[in-house]
Amino acid sequence: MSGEVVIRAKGLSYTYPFQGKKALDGVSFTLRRGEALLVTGESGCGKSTLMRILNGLVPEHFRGSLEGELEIAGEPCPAPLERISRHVGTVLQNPEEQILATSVEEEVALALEWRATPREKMARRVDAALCALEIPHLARRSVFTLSSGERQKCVIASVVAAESEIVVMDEPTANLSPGATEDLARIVASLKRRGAAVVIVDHRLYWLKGVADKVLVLKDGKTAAYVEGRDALSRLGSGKTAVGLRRIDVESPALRDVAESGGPSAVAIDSVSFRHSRRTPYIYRDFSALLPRGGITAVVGPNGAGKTTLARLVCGLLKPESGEIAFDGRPLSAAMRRRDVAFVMQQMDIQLYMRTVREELDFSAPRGLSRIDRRTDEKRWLDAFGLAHLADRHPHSLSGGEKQRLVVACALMKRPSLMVLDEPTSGLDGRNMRVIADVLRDYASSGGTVLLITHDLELLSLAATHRLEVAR
Amino acid sequence: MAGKSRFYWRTEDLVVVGLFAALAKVVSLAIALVGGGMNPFTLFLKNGVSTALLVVLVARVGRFGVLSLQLFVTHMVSLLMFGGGMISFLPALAIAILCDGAIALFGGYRRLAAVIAGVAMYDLLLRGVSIGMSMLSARENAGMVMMAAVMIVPGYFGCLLVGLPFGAKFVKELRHAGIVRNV
Amino acid sequence: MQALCATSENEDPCGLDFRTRLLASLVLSTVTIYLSDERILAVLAAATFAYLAASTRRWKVVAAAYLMMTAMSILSIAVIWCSYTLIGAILEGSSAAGRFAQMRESVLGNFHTPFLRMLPSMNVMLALVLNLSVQKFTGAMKSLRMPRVVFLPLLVFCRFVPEFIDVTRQLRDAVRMRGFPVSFGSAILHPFQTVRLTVVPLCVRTLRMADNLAMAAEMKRVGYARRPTHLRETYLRGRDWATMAVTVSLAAAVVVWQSNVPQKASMMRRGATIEKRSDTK
Repeated sequence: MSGEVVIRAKGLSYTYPFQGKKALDGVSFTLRRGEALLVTGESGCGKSTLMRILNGLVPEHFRGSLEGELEIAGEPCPAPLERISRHVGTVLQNPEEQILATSVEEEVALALEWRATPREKMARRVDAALCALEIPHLARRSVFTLSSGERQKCVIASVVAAESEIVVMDEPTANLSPGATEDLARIVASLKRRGAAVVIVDHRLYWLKGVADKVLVLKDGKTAAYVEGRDALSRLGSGKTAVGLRRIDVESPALRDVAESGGPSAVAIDSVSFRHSRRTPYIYRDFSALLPRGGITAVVGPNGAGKTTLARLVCGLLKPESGEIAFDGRPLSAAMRRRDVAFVMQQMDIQLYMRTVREELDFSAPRGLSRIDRRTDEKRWLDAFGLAHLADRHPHSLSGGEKQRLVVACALMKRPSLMVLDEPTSGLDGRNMRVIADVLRDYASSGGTVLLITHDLELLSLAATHRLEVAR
Repeated sequence: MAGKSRFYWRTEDLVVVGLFAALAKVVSLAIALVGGGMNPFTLFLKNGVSTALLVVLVARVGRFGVLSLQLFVTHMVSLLMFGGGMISFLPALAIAILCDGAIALFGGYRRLAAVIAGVAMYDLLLRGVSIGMSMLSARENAGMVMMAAVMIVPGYFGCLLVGLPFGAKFVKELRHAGIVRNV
Repeated sequence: MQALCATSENEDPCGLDFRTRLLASLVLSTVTIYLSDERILAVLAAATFAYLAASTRRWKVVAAAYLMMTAMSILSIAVIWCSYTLIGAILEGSSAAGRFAQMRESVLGNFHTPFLRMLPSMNVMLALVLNLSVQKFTGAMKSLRMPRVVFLPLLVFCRFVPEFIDVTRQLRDAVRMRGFPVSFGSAILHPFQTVRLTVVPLCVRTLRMADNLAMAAEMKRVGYARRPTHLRETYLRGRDWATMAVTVSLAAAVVVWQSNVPQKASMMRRGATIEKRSDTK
């Protein structure tokens, strides 16, 4: 590719207000039209800061001190956000926290409306963007009914409609299924063909093979590696694991079906039927499965197949219309299952309540556990998850990776006979993902049972032992 | 090098006010669903939670006029969604402006004590507006007015006993967590 | 709240614009406060009920609203009547006891007027709410050309009420999984714990959402243009103008009618009722 240069950064440094340490320190790179740059690195390495500088939020939204040279689409920066936003479109990690309108076409048109684009021109651009993303059938749909993948396409369509020359994507695959991730790779390739420069900030690397033209690896705000060329990712070198990155070559693991597992089962789901109300169709009808003891069973299936519903049924948060769920051969009521099962949900913030990490762990311990046992368990899990130095910190002041580890630690504090985890590693770097995989393996090898819902192929290949297929 | 906005209210402030209005509605509804709408304990808890949320909102936004803006938005919601609340709008807005002034007078939005005092005053005076509205709509029946007056008592106790102390506590915690920085 | 959660456009049998229904609701519910004559209120209640009947087919919801309002009114009257009786019994023999007995009688005597006053407001509100959807609401907000300071929080409100319903549900599940029962009983037994488990995670979640949303709104420049354009403009039709005209005329008519009702007569009627009741006793 030899398009014109749209981003030119030289010695870019940034320090947040009231912080002594630079969040970004002397970063340089260039990006041309039709190229894709992958920015990666461990949690807290400065990826998000770079993204905020590129889309103009620094320094207009986030104050602080910006040094070095930066030129975006020919504009010397810092330039007013008003001007930068005409060139740069951003796709945030959680599209639902970015969508402001209530229908797809309204969302796609929103930025154009507030730029006072004439209606006919706007309608043409909205239609073209929806067609480019292959979602014209969703135009009038309410955003509340969209899947994660569809919501992300809607946000990307709004960027395409705004004719942004630069598209910045923050952790775009964190909530996507492998199929939706493949779709996203195709969309990025098509954006490049249309002449856009794409900056992708992500931990997951495998999907960008053949898509990323440049790779920038950050560590502590500094450039740890900068590789250019079509095979930039492959040339990144074998030292990648050492800096906490994820793997480049990931295959969907071949797992044994739970039906074929011959060993003893810990949980038996027997002829369970469930639907949300009498007016809605059945999600499960006479569904049966056995979860092997000491196994890590991955629930696989397309979006909307009812994976989370199955988790909630097993946990006792939903009651089946018929059928029963037995633990160790003993059918248990929903209330008893809630006592015996630990459930790690996707959303971290709503699972943390106390003033310190230690109190949070203490609150998770089963009632009736002696004080000494509590302290022993607390120490064990604080050490296992590398949280010991954070024991007196407020849980909500932790980084995303630390919070995710804390929530899994809280689940283990409960001493459950079954652990259910829903996307426990989305948005985690390689190091944190491996910590969670290791702990799950240890828990399973000591006789625990795990039900794992995840789109993370690396976690599956590292930890899962069985698969349970659910169909739509 | 930060660009100066031409608006007094930052986008962030307006978004936080809108989100807290939505949150307060949903939480009130959820508590009413669990405990029943007119149950005194439900009223106590509902008002306690709403006040705690209001304290957090005021501390987070930390700008003169936040109570008035919050009142304006919640009233606009009732006005546009339910087509009601026209008559109580102006007196309630006047109270909100007065309480914003009181917070500024007590030491400003960076002082938690001033925020707490302002919210306590705001909650009390708004209850006066509620009684006034009951007097207008049920003026022929002193009993019904009396009933309305009695019904607001547990709510105000919820505000005083739960909302304000917990609001203050949570603001301190959120400051410790680095989420609220103004106070 | 139900309306806000509706994911598709609610069917409006009359095909009226949201702004028309809003005007009807605002004007008539405001005018009702001024009215005090039972006949006028009854006429207005009948007229607004006809409007409601033409506006919806969801009769179960209408019936439930009527039942609830009646039950609430009866309950409040009963509670106050019992309270006055009790106080009267305690103060029996003293001069104050007689006053309480009189007040108790007046509670029953003027029950119907406030009840009638609530009916027109409820009818127009139901007609508005039962035909509302998020899309209609946000579309109307755009067409009303509101300033940024009102538009942005309201847009966020509409967009996030359904999202928060989901967050609240997830929070309930998360708390239950930690072994804390989510029930009325546990809220009474542990009110402070309940507040902590509710407020802290919700505040944090909301404030984090706010950061992202504010960034998105800034980048899209929402609220910055003086005259934004709209992808789909909504227009008022003939039936909207006609309904607005009927609404304003009706409001004017009842106000004029009420001003011509001699205040003394109605006061006397009320006084007579009380006297008659004391005689029968």
